[in-house]
Amino acid sequence: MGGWMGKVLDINLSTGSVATRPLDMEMAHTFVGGRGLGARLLWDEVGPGVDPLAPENVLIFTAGPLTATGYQTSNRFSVSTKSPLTGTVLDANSGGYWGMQMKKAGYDVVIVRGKAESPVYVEIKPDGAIVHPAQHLWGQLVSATSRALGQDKNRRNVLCIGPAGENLSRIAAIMNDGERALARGGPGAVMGSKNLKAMVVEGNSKPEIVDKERYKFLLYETRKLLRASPLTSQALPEFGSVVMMNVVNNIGALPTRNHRQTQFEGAEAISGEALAEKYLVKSAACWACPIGCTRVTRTDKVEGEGPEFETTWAFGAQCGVDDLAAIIEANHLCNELGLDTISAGSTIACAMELAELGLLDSDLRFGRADLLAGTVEAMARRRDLGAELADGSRRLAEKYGRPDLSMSVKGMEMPAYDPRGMQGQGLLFATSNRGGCHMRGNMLGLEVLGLPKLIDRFQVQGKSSYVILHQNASASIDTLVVCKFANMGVADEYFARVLSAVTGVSYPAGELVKVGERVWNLERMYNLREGFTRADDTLPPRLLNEPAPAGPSKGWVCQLEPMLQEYYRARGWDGNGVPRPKKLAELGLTDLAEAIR
Amino acid sequence: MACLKFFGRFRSYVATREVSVAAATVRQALDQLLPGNRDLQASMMDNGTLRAYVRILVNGHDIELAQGLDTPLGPDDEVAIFSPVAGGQD
Repeated sequence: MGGWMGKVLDINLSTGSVATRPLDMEMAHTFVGGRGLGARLLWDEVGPGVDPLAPENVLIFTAGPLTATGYQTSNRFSVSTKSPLTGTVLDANSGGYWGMQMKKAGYDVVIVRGKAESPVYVEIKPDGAIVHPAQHLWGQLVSATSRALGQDKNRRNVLCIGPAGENLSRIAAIMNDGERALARGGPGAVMGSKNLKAMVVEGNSKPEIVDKERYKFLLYETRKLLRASPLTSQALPEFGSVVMMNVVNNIGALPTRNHRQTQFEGAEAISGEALAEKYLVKSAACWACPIGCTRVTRTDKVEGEGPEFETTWAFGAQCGVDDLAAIIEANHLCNELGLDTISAGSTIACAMELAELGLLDSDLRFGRADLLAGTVEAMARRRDLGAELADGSRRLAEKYGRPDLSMSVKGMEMPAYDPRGMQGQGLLFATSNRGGCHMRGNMLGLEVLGLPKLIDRFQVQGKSSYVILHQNASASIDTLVVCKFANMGVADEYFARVLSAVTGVSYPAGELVKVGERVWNLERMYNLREGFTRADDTLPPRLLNEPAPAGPSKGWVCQLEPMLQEYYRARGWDGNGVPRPKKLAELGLTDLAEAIR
Repeated sequence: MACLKFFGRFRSYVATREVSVAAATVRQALDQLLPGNRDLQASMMDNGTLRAYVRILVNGHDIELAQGLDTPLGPDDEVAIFSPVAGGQD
């Protein structure tokens, strides 16, 4: 068997039992791994109506068949669960080393279920797992926890939650290898609800590769392709993702002050160029990655990894803050406390607007860089006002009678692209299965960067077909699990060749993208089973009804409705966004249809 | 005079990140700047054609969707030249 290790580790924290079972290989071939396999297992494990913070929810950690092979960016892994932030299906993926180590320990999947009576951590090795008491670790920051449990580069790797997850913040992240994050949708709260502080893994095997000669050639070709692309060989290593700040601002699509504007006058001060000039120490990379997009930065107060573009935007333009040092420090705190930076920053921005309107009694105002760190700390510890912000902007805004001021979709805060300046991105956010998210089919390439070609970002008719293509392709990459930055030098169908060479299973051109489409529809069905409807495929009223006030996008709103109707048709769904029987049959998902009848 | 602004790696090839140029089109503006700057020329152009990864915006709108290098320039127009990437949080 190539690629897959063929084993599932099942840990029951309620009973303390640990068991292994063979991986269902037919399921593995059909859903591949990562997000796909995780979604399929979650469908069986967590039925409708389960409280995401109840013991009945599960955490499903999945690698992909390429993980740990040594293929470029084959370090990533996923977690699947039911989101406490949105109530939808959730997957999040992360880089670093933990996923690679999980494969080396011999597992494709690690399932954690139930709830321990008191805080524990789990140690995973090739011969099984042991559950240890962790009371002494409860309350500790992520770096201290990682050190205490012996984090050691590519030999022993720690995945844990910080105080945010322990306090069940619905925007809590799971952190791995110190500063990597399974960030969005609150998986950290699920882990905290199980009294699970950490999972440590050590392994000593490697996945088999079936066609070694072909694989070696593809590895060599990928190296050349990544070197040939100036994006993966120059721009990303040199500036990191924050180089997007000036770009998105220039086109008038940078959400500013809780999406009140679409350009930020302070964008240059918080740009990738400014970061490189003033705070960059070096770049760094995940295991088996030649790109090296990670920034290691230093201010007077902190040194560590990040921030990324989204983080810099969330604490920057979205909060009206142009103090890059304060943003770096807020990012560092989020990593230590285990918080999703996009949701944290955008929730603070929501609070800022509520305060400016006199609805929230707080000193928070747009531009108050000095209050960022204290607010983040208070959110993670559920202290004072932080207790109200800890569960994201939707719950905050609803409490103060202004749900329209939460810049979220299905409860997940949107990232750094204003749909009034990028129509396709708006459709993407509205239809993404885990909520307001750009990482499930980012339209930035097509609508701004000309990758692989440029389309009019204000175009509405016909936009849905591009969004669907991107969503399916993105889902397929998430099953492998490889980094989307690698996709900037390597085409989607190329990954299918690598997958075939590694596993010995034939994935012809188009088949891997079909896997992505299958995963997308499965996730949709999961949400429908939970009671989500067409009404949830929407955007905040500000983006639908308030024209962009100035800049290149002036006068535009997001024209979602015509795009949505076209999207449903093109997806093979009915007018309510329900996959038609013919589509489900085509994807081998007919057995799911009964669940939503 | 139109204002040309350089971003990302292009900044390392120019003395100042903003340059004012009197030109009627984007092409004319580049024709004034590039001959005197070999590194900038090489990074932006390939045998007289703009490299695929170079984006040029006039007032926030990509010239590829206008008239390309022949996109007209007005006296207060802002021309942004960049070659970016994207990133994200998962």
